[in-house]
Amino acid sequence: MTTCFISDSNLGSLLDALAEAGPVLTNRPAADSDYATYAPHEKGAAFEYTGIRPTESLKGLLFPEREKVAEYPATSPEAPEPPAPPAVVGAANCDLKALASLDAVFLSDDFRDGFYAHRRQELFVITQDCTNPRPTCACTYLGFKPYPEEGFDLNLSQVEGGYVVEAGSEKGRELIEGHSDLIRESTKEMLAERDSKRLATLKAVEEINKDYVINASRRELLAAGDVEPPWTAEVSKCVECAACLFACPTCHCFLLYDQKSGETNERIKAWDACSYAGYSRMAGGGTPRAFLLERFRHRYMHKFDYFVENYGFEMCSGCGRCIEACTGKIDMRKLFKALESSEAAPAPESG
Amino acid sequence: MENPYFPLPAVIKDVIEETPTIKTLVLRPEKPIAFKAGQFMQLTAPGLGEAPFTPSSSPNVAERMEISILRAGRVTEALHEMKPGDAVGLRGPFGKGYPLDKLKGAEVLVVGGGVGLAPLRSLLLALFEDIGKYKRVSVKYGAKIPAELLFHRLFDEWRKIDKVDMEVTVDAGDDAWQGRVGLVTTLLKDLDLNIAQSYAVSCGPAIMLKFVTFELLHEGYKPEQIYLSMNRRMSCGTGKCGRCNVGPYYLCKDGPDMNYALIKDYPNVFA
Repeated sequence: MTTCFISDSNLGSLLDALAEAGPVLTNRPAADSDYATYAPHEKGAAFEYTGIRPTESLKGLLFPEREKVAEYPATSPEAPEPPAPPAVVGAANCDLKALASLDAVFLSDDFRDGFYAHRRQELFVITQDCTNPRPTCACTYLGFKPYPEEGFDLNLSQVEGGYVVEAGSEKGRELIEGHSDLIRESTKEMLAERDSKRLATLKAVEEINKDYVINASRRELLAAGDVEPPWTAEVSKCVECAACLFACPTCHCFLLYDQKSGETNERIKAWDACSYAGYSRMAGGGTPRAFLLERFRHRYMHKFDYFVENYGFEMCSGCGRCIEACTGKIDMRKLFKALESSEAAPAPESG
Repeated sequence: MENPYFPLPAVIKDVIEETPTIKTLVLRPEKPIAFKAGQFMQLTAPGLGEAPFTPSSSPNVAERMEISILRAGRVTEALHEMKPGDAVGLRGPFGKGYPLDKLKGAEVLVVGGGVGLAPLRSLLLALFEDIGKYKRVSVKYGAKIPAELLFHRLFDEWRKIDKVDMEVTVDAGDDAWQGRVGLVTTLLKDLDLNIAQSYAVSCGPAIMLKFVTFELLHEGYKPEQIYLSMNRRMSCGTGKCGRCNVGPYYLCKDGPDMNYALIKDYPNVFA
């Protein structure tokens, strides 16, 4: 794909121009911790490259924590289109990979969810290569890379003095071409610097995950069943806070609930979590997954078995937010490793 | 834009008190809603919430939808308080409906428990309207007590239809009851059906589905010959909110009548 170069100061100007059209969120170091976070771009501000994904995923921009989806009675069953999400600068490859899971669920043809679909169509995302992975980063564990190669509008790869910019969509190309005064041609040296940084980061993430490498697939390991020691050891640390599910960029469970609002009624769509005891509770009895162990296991079954059955890929991007967020420090990589070492593990296939 | 979460208005035309715990709401949707037997609707009690119900009326009468409701919790309690003229909301239809094509030429065993006869009635009406296509329809139905036998006024009418037979039992009788006493599974012992050419369709409480399935397997039915009307809490009805799954299947999309062979090895089948 064609690339160009933008200097640090010109990137600031490009973001200023982008911000003329609407709000822009940029990934920058958090003020009070060593995490990265999104915050609104302010005119004249420099882009503070973090080299790592922000705490927030793109999920909340496309699928808000809570939104009103209907008011009734109403003269029309149609709903107004939701507002476009802010433009995003500094999402990582894992954030893009996660979108595939949300797209598979919400963009299905039957009963199309316009609340997601419209926002998804309007989303403008400038991604960045990672250079600064954390112990919780697991993109390579899932088979992904710590830098985006597709699915973005523009991608930024940090090099000396600025960034190699790659356009990945019509909208991205248009932004660059509309500000050709801010860009220069990228040189062979710049591309070589980008490639060597990418390789170094890839190796760094592989190193982080080297003790977790498994030979069987995660789906096979789960099929081995309710093997006591690995599961009970992990679930004993779970406090049902659902942080893993809410932080996760692919988890999408929601609840529709109704409430009276003055003279009218509102239907709200809100995030929900399968770890909660009340999630599938039924009036009249017969609640499935009544035990925490069953709910704990279900998260893995959904992501690494059922979703694969339905859509052909795992419902995980390896972003590591679940590991980072967990109150009990549960790490799915350790769980799968323990499942592989346990007696019920399937024999690795030869060849 | 299209909104899959908007409840279409419907008016309650009539409320029928079927049993001490079950009422039938006869609804007139603002626009007729075409559905297949076994598909379900999300019924809204305005301002309170939705719950899934399979209409018990014939799909061929689109302007009048009968929904039989057991009083069990918050939403059903509110629906039980409603009167003719009140407005409710409807979304749907959802699900695949009963596998009528599979049942053609077969001896169909229909096993119901309690309010489970309500969804099964839409199946029975579909079978009866086309009875020439089926070898036999054998209905086994049970309720807790005689007063809870749903649609009991229709049983003799059904028994008169060619190739249809029906046996009824109650868990506990009363002074007036002259019929069988025992769980509905007792009606499944020593079946006089040609099991190799039979399909079973069952609907009722989860515990009943469990023991009906075991009894049918014991009688010689294979898992792929058994269809179960699975129960799960539902929300979106469109396979997106994650809640109603049995393994990789979402009851709202792939069911709610599931072939037992597909689901039998997944956890919590009978909850």
